[in-house]
Amino acid sequence: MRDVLPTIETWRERGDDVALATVVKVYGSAPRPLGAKLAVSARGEMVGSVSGGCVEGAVYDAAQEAIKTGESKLLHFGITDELAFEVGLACGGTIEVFVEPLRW
Amino acid sequence: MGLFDTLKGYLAEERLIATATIVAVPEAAAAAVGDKFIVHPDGRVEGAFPDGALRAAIVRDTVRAQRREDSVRRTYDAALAGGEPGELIDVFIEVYAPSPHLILFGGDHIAIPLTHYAKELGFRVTIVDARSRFANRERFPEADEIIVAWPDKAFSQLHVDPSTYIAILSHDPKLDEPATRGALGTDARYIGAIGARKTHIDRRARLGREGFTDEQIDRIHGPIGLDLGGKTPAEIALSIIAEIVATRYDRHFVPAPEAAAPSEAKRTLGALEEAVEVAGD
Repeated sequence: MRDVLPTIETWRERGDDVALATVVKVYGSAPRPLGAKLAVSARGEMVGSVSGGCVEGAVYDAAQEAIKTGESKLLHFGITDELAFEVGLACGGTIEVFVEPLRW
Repeated sequence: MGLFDTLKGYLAEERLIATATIVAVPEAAAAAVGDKFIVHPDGRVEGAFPDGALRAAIVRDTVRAQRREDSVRRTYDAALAGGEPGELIDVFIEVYAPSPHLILFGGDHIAIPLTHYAKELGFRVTIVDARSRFANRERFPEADEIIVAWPDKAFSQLHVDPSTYIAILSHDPKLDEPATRGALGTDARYIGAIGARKTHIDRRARLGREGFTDEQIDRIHGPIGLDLGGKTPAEIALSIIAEIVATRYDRHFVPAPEAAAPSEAKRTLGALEEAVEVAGD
């Protein structure tokens, strides 16, 4: 959280909505630990990361969706998952990412 | 003020704190995805989450996780919140541990790159030096705190706990000796002192005469840093921060004086071969 906080503050001060993505489960080897965060602004800016870069695209889309709908969502990525195969989770691990609008 | 701003305040104060977030929940249960509350290490709760069996169970697990300073994912029976027994409520418990704190005694040339590396790695950095020309903002723009004082006085205003790492970088005994004595009186996670092997042997002897036990003196990493072979201030700073990170994660390396440098090993081998030849004659 500390790594993304200053940027989130800048966005909020500008009056922009923000969504927060957090690694909430890791199985096997994963590039980022539990609690790792990626924040996304309504303008499309990003800070932080939830993987080595392989699922960021899908998480980014979910974050934009969360800003629009105000709803939180739990995402699963793994080698058995078609989407993760597409985006290629290089580490071969499985992760879950929780995406929530920053309205708390 | 929202929960996020409250959390931000605690992080700024470097408090041990945690959040619990519902990440998945069956329909019938009285909780929603995204519900969140803050839990203090004493079990106190902030945030609008209904008091009840589910919250009590989550708080119990969160307090435990805070003791380990580790985030954790937990599932609870939905029956705890009025749902169907056997269905599960998924909760992410996120623990925010205070950032590690690096205290540098001596604002010498090595302290400059060391401060830079430590900041990059998420440490809070405090510089202590009685000499203001060494301890000032121009030299240490990234330092969190600069204390211009002798070590004895500085220790009285420093908070040292097991998340504190101390590096003594001054070659001057006037700073080095009181800093070492002061550091040994704390429960700092790491104490490292600069100086060649001979300096460290002398330091051990002196501390022994002052009444420190071997066990206490063994806490001091000296010569400081992992033996990476570097010579420049930045390289030495790298070996120090590497040793600190290794200590943080309970990794132990052979101290530098015991690990023979390749050139030394080669010399030893050469001498051995010579001896064998002589013996063979």
